[in-house]
Amino acid sequence: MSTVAEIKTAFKQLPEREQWKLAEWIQETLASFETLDTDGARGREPVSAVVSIVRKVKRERREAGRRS
Amino acid sequence: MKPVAVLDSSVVVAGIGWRGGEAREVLRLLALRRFVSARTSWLTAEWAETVERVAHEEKRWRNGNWRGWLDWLSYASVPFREIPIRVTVRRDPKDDPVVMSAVATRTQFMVAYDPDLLDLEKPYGIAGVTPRKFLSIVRQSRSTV
Repeated sequence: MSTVAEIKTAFKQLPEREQWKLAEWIQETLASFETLDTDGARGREPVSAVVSIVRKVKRERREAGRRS
Repeated sequence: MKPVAVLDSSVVVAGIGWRGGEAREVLRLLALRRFVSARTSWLTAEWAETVERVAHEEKRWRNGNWRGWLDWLSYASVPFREIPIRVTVRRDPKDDPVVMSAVATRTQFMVAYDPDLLDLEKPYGIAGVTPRKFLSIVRQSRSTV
């Protein structure tokens, strides 16, 4: 399963009980986000600082992947 | 049809760490199921590693609950298998795994702040877009379910 269309088709083919479980998952995801949404620093993200650290981590992961 | 996207670590870190920016808004739309977030095991591990590093290295970081956020994001994203391909990225080869994840999941969008990813424009037909552009795309799509 690899596209939204396939996911939707599969959803429609699910037994009612499984559709209910999926609906519950969607509800849980939203409810848990609402509790998390107050976390974090105020304001906008410092994009260049974030990108700089992210690039460093990616480079290290890539190098580690090459070595292994 | 809902958009399908792979979230680059730069967006994940920004969305978890800061609540007033566009990256947080992307996560908010994910919670509302306005798009499908796809992930592979490599990408999930990269999200975790980068968030942890930024939490420790960036003095402006204020989210002590970042592990809870990563759990939420993994739970909210649809897991896909990796595909065994080697992708060459013109300017910045370090981002291969992100492109690979997007290819593996047949994603339409890679959402990123990293200019090296954005400059690729459409590798393998996948559009590299900023959070701002992606928000605009998702808000224009009226799909439900």
